[in-house]
Amino acid sequence: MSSVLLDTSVDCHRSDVDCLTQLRKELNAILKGKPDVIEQVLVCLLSRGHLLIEDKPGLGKTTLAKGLADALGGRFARLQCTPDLLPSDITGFNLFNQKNHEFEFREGPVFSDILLADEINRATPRTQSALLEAMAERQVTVDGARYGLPDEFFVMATQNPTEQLGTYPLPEAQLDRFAMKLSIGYPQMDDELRLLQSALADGDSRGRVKCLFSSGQLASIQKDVTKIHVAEKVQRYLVQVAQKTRKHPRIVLGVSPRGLLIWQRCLQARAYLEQRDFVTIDDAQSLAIPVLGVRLGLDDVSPEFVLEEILHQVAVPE
Amino acid sequence: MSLDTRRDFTKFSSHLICMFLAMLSSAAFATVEIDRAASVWGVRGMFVVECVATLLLGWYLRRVAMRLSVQPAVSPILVMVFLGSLLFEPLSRMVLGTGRPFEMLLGFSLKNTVLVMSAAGCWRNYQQLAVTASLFVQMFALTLLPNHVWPITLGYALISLWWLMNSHWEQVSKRLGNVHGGTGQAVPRSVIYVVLGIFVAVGATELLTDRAMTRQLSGILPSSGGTGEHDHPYARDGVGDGDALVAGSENIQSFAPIEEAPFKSSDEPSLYDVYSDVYEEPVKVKNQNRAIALPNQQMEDLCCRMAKSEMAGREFSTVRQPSKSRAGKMKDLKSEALFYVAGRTPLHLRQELFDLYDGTTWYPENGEKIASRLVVEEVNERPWITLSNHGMAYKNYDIFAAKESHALKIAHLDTNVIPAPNRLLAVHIDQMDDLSLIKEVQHGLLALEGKRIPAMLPVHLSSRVLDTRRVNEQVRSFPPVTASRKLPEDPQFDRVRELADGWSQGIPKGTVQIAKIIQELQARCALDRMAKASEESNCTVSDFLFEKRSGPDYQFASATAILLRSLGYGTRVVSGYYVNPDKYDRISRHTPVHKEDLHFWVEVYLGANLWMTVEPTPGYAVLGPPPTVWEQAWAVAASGVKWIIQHRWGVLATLLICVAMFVTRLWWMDAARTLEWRVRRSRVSSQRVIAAQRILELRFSAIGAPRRSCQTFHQWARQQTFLNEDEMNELLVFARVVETAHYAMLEGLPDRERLDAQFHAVSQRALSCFTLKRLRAARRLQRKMTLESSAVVTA
Repeated sequence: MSSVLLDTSVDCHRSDVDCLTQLRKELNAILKGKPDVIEQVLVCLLSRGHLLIEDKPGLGKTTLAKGLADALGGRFARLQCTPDLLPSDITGFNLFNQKNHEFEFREGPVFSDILLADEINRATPRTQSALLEAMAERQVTVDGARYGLPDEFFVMATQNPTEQLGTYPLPEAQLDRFAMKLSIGYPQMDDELRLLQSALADGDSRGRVKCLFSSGQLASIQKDVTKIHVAEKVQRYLVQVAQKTRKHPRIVLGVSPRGLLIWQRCLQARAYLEQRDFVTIDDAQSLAIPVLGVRLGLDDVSPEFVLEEILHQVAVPE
Repeated sequence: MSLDTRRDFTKFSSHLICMFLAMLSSAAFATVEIDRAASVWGVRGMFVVECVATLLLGWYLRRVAMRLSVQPAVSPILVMVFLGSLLFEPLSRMVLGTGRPFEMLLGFSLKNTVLVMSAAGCWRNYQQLAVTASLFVQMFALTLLPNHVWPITLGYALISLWWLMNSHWEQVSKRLGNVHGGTGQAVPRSVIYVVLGIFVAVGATELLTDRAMTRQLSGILPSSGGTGEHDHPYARDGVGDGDALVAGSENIQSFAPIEEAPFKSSDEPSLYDVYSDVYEEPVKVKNQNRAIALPNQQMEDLCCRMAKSEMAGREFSTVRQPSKSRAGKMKDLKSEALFYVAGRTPLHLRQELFDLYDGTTWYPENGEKIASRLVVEEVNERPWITLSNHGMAYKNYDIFAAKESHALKIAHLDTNVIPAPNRLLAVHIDQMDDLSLIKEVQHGLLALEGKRIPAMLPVHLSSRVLDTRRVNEQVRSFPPVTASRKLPEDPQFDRVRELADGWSQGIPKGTVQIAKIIQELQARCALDRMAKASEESNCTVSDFLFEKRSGPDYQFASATAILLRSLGYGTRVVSGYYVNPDKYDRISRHTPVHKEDLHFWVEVYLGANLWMTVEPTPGYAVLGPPPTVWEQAWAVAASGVKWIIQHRWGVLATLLICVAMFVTRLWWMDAARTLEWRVRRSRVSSQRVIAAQRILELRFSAIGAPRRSCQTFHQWARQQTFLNEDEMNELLVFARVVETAHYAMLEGLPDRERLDAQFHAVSQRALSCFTLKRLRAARRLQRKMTLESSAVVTA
């Protein structure tokens, strides 16, 4: 551990640290040149939040999701959203079994550890809303019966920002269920070169990641994350920023209390990843745009611009 | 400047209004100080200096505030200003001989603090505090001197309303605009109500009562007077001071320095009868002059007040006399002065006029025609005995300055002639409107009935001062009166005449010629108070001028009178008292006149019953017209320059030290802060780290790399690219410690002592590593390299 102050660093298990370090390394290997994105994906994972990736096709969204699923050792499901996709295609449905004359529940793709909902904005609002319960409460209700989802249930949704025809923008309620929104972006020239070289070298094994986590290990880490200390002055800072978003003239919909809670949990996850047992304002500022940007209703202005302005207005607590 | 740094930054207009309010309250306080100050112009000058200093400081701080993101610590400066003002008092009492009563001292300290606070009004919190405190100063001044301060208070009230509105709209615009994101709060309505309530209360109290508010609020606000034990002689009111102060403790006949005291006679039993049985009787005045019977109603009021005075004052004279020698006289009492004078000095107070000279002796002119007619005139409901024809005669000539007022407070004077200045216009003695009690004995000299002027008697005199610059023509144009031109028929006087002719040759008649004669006389003869004229001499003037060439003041006066007479001037010798300005007592604001102030001088006739005072004796001066503002300013400037030249080495050294201190101020401040950090080890380790962080930030600010308030320490540290790699690592390590100190949960850690030691070590290393000197050097190096690289690119 590179910490200067060993006494104040987080008390985590060595195996957990090693697993996370290895996971970071594996994911960086399959998504080259994007360590910040990997870091934020890990933050999202440890904070038990869901991730919305808004980017163009072919930038490695699916590869990243698959790699993550492989590393976690869980089930991976992919959902290609289209306008004719039905809610039951996601949640599952009851099928009449003629042998025993009973209805049997057939689980949909949502019953997985990692769900990649590709081009989610192509699904109709009715279908999108089928994901609401699953994301927020980690359960689905089909024909009045509730079915629980695994604790590690993690949704990675993607949407294409350039295509507007035939799309259904996600409603604010749905957006608020996501912990953060990221953009992967095109890789740098060197990274792209290395990508091509590794494709030749690895062949078919490209993108394969071995399982790194044992059963229940991720849940344990996620539990440890909740124990990270958040000082009152940091919380006060978060509230000040949230209040600013509600008063800003160019923000139609500010940060909700649920968004504030998710932000705090993300900060704890980031501190955990940096092996600290306390949250800093640096954490808050670095995660403000991905976490708050997804849940702001804006008046024809980019979230980055507005949030940068707000962060400049709020003084760092002394 | 980034938006966040403007968070508590106020608009220029509200800052200016705030400073103006502080200056108004300062003006109100200065008005109170002027009421008792020894030098009115001193207080006014101080006020102007304070205003200019406040504006300059405000301008400077505003510039600093525009540059800095971190609000500097102004509070310690405010505390220092307050304490410094307090500490100035003992120095002032010791060195300057002036002082303030306790409540004025506190007011003075607060007023200074308010001025500095208003200068720091570019930050909202200080501005609000400054306005509130200035309101207190204003109210304080108003309660002490309501009659003079209320116009300023009215202006203050209007401007403060303006400030309230301005401040309110500033807040509103910030909130609506929300671009600059002010976090300050709008002025609550309750504050406006409270301020208005205070004004209404003050106004009502002032309107509904006819007494000073000092008395209304007696016991609530600190006040001067009272026992006079601690604040005497610097008290504003009470025993130590007063309008009609005579050395009251010297004569038990007076209970207090009040106008009516000399006429008070009461047979009522009092405390003194009881004391007299035990300690025997105090000295009593045997010779009682004629007294005026006061009206019944006034007598009742007077007795009532006197009785109160007795009970409150508990006066008891320790000057007692045994029963055997009950015939104790006034002379037995110790008295430092014959009388006291309030008013401008130097002053020649005439007692006797001498017109005739026989060679050795001066005589008053027998049967001098007294042209004046005494008239009683009421001025401000007070009787003034006016020498009517004098006024009429003087009105025709434009050779006078403004009317001059003096007050004499007689201690004990063994004459009934009132010492009066030349060109006396009127005399006022309280309650005295009976002309049979007073008469004119010589030209412009009044005498009371009886053998002597009653002790403890205040006498007010009104006279006109001659403006000698305009008088030159008058001396030539008016013929002299006969008696004042007479010269003894003695051949010795021919020598005197020759001497006078020689001295005045080529100089036209008038004040210039008179001045020339005096100048030559003073050059020829020396003042020697013990020198006596030769006994065999039958012409003392000739003896003085040609033989002894030294003598006392009457010899100078005689010689001048004769020299001028021989040139055709009408002159006379006057005896009286010289009120020496060197003896002026700044605390009591009176000039005492002693026996040794008995003096002789000369008066030159101008015509139409006008006489001009001429002072031939070296070391004495004649009262001139009051100096104009420019003359005073010039005198102040000249004395300042003179003082600087006299103390040039000290001034130069002080100036150099000040410049050096200013140039190295950042270093000194940093050294003080670092020393404080090292000395104060008692605080918890996280606080020590935060203190070290502030010191480092201020050092970086000093070299132009301040941390913005929206930046975390870690982000800011990473921006310091002018540091080398080792230094950067050191700074980042310290940044980590700072983060831990700020945000980590340190309570209950098992190995806390080790952590504290680690905190201390890292902080100390950072403070030692990033000294001002090293930071400046690193900055310079970076700039140099940037310039070189840009030069290469250009080439």
